[in-house]
Amino acid sequence: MIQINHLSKTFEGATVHHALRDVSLTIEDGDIYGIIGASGAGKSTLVRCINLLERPTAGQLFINGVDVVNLRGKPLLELRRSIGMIFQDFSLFQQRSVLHNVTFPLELRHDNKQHRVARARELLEIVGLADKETSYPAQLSGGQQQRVAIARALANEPTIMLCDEATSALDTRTTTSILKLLKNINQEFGVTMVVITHSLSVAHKICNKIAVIDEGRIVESGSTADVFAHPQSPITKELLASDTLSVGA
Amino acid sequence: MEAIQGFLSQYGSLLAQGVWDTLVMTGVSTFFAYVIGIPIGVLVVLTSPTGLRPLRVANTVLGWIVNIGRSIPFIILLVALIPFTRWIVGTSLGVPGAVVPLVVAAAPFVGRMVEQSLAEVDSGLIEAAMSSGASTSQIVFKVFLRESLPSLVRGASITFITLFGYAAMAGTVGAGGLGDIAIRYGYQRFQGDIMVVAVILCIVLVQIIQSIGDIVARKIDKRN
Amino acid sequence: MKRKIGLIGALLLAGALCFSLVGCTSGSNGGSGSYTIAVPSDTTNEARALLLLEAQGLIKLREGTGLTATKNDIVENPYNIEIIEAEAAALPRTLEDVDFAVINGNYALSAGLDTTTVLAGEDPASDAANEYANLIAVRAEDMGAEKTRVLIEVLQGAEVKNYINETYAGAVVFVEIPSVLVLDRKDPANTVIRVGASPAPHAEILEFAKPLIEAQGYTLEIIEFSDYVQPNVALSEGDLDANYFQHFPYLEDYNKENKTTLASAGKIHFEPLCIYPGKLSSLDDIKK
Repeated sequence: MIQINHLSKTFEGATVHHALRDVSLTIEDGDIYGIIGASGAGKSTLVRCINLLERPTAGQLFINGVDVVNLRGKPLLELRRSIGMIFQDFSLFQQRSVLHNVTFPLELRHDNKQHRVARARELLEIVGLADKETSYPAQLSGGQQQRVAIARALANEPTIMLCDEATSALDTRTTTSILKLLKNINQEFGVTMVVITHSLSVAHKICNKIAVIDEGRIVESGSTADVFAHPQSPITKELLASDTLSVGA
Repeated sequence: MEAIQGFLSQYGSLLAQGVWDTLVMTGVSTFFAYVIGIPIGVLVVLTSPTGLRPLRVANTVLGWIVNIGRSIPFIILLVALIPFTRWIVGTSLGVPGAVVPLVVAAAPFVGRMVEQSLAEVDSGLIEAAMSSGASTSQIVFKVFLRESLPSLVRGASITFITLFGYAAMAGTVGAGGLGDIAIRYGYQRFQGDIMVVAVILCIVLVQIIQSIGDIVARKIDKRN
Repeated sequence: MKRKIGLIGALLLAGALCFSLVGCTSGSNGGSGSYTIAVPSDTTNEARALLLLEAQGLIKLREGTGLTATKNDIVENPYNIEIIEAEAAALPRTLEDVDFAVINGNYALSAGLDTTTVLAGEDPASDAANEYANLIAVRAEDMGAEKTRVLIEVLQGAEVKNYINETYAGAVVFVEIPSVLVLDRKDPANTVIRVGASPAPHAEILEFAKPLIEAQGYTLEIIEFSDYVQPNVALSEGDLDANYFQHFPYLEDYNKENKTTLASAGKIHFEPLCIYPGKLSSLDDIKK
């Protein structure tokens, strides 16, 4: 379970930017929790705080009961290994084969070679790319690359998976199949997912709960069905109105 | 034909020795320049303000070292380093005597090239590695260096060819080489035939090295 | 697996290169009991050095090799001596790395070498002194010019002679070969004499002579050159009135190669080349 209490993040630079203001959320085990909002609203910053790619300036972040906000060194690396992450541009290692992209997290733990390869093959089977293990990312389509990224994110048997605009660079059909895969993984392996997206239809397709974020604040949250059917905040209403891939349709 | 045979019998071994001296000097210097230059480049990238371990003081100092190293005229470096060279290889003369100043001159250059190669690695990959729980040293070896390998190989062939030019001045300490032969026989003693042959050999060698570098870089680059 | 093989291969290659490098350091030709002698690498200095070694009975040069001799022209080398050709000015610094070195007087002096340790050298009283005396060269048509006359008169005069003999203590020697010049013209409009010279000791001697030349109504402009080809080029193309850096055999050779007609207006000084001890202190150590 992820418990976010009054989390804030301020960037000090030429100008001071309050990316997150007093954010509080509860993400239960097994949720596929969506975080939606316009560009620059703070969705990416929020999800990056969960595995501490960004360090919050204030607040508490409990992951399975432990406040991780000030974690450093070895404990931090351990935490990150229990959280998988996928990105909008896939971020696959170009000079490694598909197989070795997936074994990467296992190499970090110094697992023995046989075990790494066996596990990687298992995962490639799950994402449907067993026949591509010797290919290189440059030879794959966008959808295939994201599948490899998903396999890589699952290598360490994480309890949580973070998806940062994971389908924003894919076409509609590929998006649907990736979302289907994510949903299967959530159901079969019980991996809690946090899904960042600016697309309401993505949130509608797989998230059971969502939160709406605007200018660093959570303006609304609840079950997806509720929020979309009965939006309380004007921001949410605006989002619903402007998203042409409309949910209701 | 007779003229060619006569030329070869008189200067053949001189030129052969020159080719060997040049290759050894340049090859060994490039190797050690990378041994020193890679850590320098890695440290500059890690300690930069946007790096994994920002440390402004270290970053600035390293930057100065790199710039100063590249500013000193090589022939001055060659002579100024004589006591140091003697301490490391036991003599100030010959090929070993030239390798030490060549490495000192080249390491900063290599540092800059390595820094540039590493900076080309997509920051998204670094994030992906971090989120998988990689430590800084794991990121350096498994991501930074591995992903930039084709670029590093290209840099190595550029470095080799640059050192080729510097090595021409190695004649100051008696290290020989093709450049030295071209200068002393061709220019100082007006023996045009030797100069032409020495220069042609230089061109051929550089071309071969460049091609090898290109082929290897292309072969190991999995993005093709 | 392939990666490991590649890494091992690279390391082996590096190791092999380093090994050949080390092979170069330990005693010369890689053979035991061979000797190293360092000589200047530029044209006439190297030739003179080799001729000096030949005169000492250490090597034999090919028949008829003159002032363009290089180590390539050695035909007999009974003591297995390795000749290392290095920049003349760098030689004093490399003495501890070789058994002996043949060094120009002026560089030995600048480096503070003890001239009493000289093992053998070109005799300042010999024909070599005349042969290798450094001279003032001018274009053939300027042999009778007033500028030339003034230059030679001052540089062959008593003040310059004393200056040279006192300042250089035997490393540079004034040569008593006065020139006889026939004056055939004056250039009253142009009183600047442009002379190209090597930095040491030539430009220094000219600096000393500057006020003396001024007293005769001419201004001396000294242009320093670090190589041995450009001063002749500049002279023949008219950028200089005279140059001061070479000896007669070199000048003759240059004229022959380049079809020029530069002439010697007067000899000024001689720089004896000497054998200095390095790791070994006596030439007999080789000859034993």
